Amino acid sequence: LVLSAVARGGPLHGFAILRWIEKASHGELLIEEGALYPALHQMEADGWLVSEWAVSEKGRRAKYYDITAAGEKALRQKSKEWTRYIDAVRHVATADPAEE
Amino acid sequence: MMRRGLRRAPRAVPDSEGDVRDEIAHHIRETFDLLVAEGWDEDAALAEAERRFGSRDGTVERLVRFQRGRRRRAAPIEWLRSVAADLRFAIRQLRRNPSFTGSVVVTLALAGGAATAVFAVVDAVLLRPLPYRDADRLVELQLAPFDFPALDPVRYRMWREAGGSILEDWMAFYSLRLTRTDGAVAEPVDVVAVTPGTGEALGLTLLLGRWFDADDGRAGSTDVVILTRAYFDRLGADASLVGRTIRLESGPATVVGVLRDDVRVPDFGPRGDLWIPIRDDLTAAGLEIMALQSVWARIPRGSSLIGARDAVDRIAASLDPAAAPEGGWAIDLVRLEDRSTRFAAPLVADTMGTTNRSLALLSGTVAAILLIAVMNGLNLGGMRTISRSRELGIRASLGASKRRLLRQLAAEGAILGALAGALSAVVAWLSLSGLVRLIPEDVELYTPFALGLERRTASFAVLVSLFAGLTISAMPAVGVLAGGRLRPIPSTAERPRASIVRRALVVAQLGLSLLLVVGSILFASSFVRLNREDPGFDHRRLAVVDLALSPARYPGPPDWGAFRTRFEEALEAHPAVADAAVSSFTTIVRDRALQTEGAAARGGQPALFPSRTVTADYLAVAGVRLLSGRSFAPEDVGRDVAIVDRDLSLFLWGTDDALGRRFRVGDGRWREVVGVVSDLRILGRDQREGPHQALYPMGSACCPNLTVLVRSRTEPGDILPVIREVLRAVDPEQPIQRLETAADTLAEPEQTARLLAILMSLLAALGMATAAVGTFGVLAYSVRRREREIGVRKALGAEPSRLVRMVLREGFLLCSLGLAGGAAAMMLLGDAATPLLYEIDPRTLTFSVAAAAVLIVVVTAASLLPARRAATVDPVEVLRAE
Repeated sequence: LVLSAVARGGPLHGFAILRWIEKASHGELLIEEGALYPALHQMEADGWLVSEWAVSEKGRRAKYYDITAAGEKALRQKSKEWTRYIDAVRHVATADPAEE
Repeated sequence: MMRRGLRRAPRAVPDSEGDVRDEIAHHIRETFDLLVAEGWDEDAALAEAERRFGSRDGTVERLVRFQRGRRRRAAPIEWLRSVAADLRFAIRQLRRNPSFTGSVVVTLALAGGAATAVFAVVDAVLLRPLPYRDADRLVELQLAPFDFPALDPVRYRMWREAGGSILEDWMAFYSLRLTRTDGAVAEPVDVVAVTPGTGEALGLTLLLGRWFDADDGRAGSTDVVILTRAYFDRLGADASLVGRTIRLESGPATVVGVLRDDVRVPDFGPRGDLWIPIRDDLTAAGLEIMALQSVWARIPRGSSLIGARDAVDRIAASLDPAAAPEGGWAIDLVRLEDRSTRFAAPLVADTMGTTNRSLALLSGTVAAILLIAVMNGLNLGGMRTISRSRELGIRASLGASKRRLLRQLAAEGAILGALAGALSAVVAWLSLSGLVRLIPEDVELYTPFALGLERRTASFAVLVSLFAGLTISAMPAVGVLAGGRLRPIPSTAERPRASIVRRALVVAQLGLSLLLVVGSILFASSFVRLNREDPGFDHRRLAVVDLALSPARYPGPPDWGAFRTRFEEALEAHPAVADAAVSSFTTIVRDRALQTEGAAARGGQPALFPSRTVTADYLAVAGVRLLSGRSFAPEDVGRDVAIVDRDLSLFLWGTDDALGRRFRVGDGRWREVVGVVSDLRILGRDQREGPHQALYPMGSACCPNLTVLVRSRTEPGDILPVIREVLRAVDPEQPIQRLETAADTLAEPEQTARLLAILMSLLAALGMATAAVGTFGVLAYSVRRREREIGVRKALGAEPSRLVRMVLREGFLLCSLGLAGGAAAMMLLGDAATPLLYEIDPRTLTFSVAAAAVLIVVVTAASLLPARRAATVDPVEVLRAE
């Protein structure tokens, strides 16, 4: 989720990532704010994200995250897993036991 | 704003705690902004923002912990990565300046290579621990007052029995030469007789077979031999040799073992083909041993050398009082590791003392060259700093830390050093293999190690070069540390202090070069002088043959005398031979009791007192000049008379007439001087400390070891096959120990002098070349820096010749300062070199003047190119560049 935000939205700081997800999910998905940063830092350590301190449009110093090639690969992998999972859930939800 | 380009430059450094707090604070601030924009009042907005975020401190703490762990894990990798980056950058820098890199690497490699080669020798001869088991506890037993010959076997046995509790692992050895016959071939073999157990006690290893055991040492058992690896290879390296029988003149002997190739025990003699056991009845290969060559033993673990010495002294007082000389027996225990010459038997100790001195001298010389090379590199590096201070300044202003810049400079130094190190290992390898060939066979370096490039030597090369490389990069580093000067745009004028440092370096280089050049001149002229020295006899058309009569076939004095007469007569009967005379081998006494009759012995004793017994016609055949008195007559045989050389006469009686006076040596017989001859150099020309030689008349019963002088009618080289032929006719089985012309015999000790002269000249040339590069560099740089000034002068009408003179003057100034410094150092160091020189005072002005002349020529040559450049500066060009 975070990865796709960064992948689509370009270099973003933490708050913007949160906003992006909120907007993209039409307010359906809300990530706990306190949990976002540990996740970001972990992904950075894993080499999925890179970061740089820069000055935001509001003139504030902020840490911007961007996705790396490794991150994109992980993103593709994760979305594939998610799609499979969602498909599976959907199949279960709509399955007709009689077909078994 | 941020661009995607960010992806290419991953942030390597983990966040600090401050970063983490900032990041969270930024988040809360954004939330706050959002809330305020949504219409919250500020206090409520702040509280809501904090609430939405959750536990702020907890998160911060979690993140900080996480980042700290990351930093710990990443540190080594990050470090390696940045070092790699530094190295890459350094390589780029060095490749951009091929002339700088090349000259530094080459000079360092040459100097380092020379240093390594010398280190290899010093290490093998002096430094490396002896390759024997528990070598630190091994001692040599030296018998006083006569330390040559060491110990006779009977006394050895007494000592061994009495001292068995004080010392363990007793070993004795004795080297001799036997003839091995194999069908038609009779070849001399070098044999080492050792007490059984010697090999094991030394911790040596066998390639094949077994060591001598107790049975081999029992009297009357079958003869057995152990082959050295070299001899085993010479016999075809056939493993089935073990168990087979070879024929020695003493009879058949069974091969029981083969030593491994790395076994070298130089005390046993330089070559050593075979080992045979010394039997319990103190015979070896059927021969009675008259004197052991050396006795070694080991101090038991836990005992001290001093304690063992005391105990041995107590035994000395109680043993064998009847045969004891005045003052009683004394035994000295000398640790093998402590012997000033680790492997020299007492006889050669003096020669080896010179070896140690030569090694010290060579070490000093290569250290000087290394110093020159490093100063040269510093100088070149320092010049580069000026141009580089701009680059460094730019990088510093772009945010590179001082530490980072220093690391990059160190990386450059390390690369320079590593390159030079690899090259210098090659240089060392080449010069060592050259050196080994230069060293004449007779100049045996007393070391159990083969000279060559192995791990110790190679790591020395690399370490020295790395150190030198890093030192060279230190000059710009000092600039970095001084900090303030790192401006992106440096002033064009050079800082005066740096230029003084640079000139001082050149002066020092020139001074050191002067020392080296003087040294090489001294050694060369010492060699020439030695060559001209009158040996005291007529060595032209003279051949020398040494024979050691086989004890098996010539067991006693009558046989020796008979052989001698037959051989001498057969020689004189040959048409190519003018005359022949016989003497014994030289006996050398290191005697502390050389006395004259009726007078107290003069203070000080000669280091060596060589003497030999000679036949009556010896003086005539050898062409020795008689100064006063007479030559020996046949009726002198058996009488206590002597002929002394002028050195001995001067030593004993000063300028008084020596004829009719009497003196005595160790054996206590008073001998009357009947003749004085010119100085004899029978041990070679280099006998400065007074050879003090004496000749005694040869009795008819003398001796198992003969030196026969043969005066030929033809060229001396042609007589050698004749002598061989005559000997074959007299006794076909008698091996020859040495057969050469007297001129060659004389040349032997000169080999060392020549070797030293050659080495010193090569090293001096190397040092001087490096100093010349330094001078050239400084002058060239100074001309470039002053191009504008020179251009202006030219535009104002200065003659090109004046400009040339201006540059040359600068060169001469450097040169004369260097010469002054060098001359001062020479005065201080002169004494150290004196013992190595043959009757030459190192402070002789001529040599210094000659060396200075050489140096002036070299410096002038090095200044010419920059001077010409100054003369050809185009004023228009220079001024346009302004």
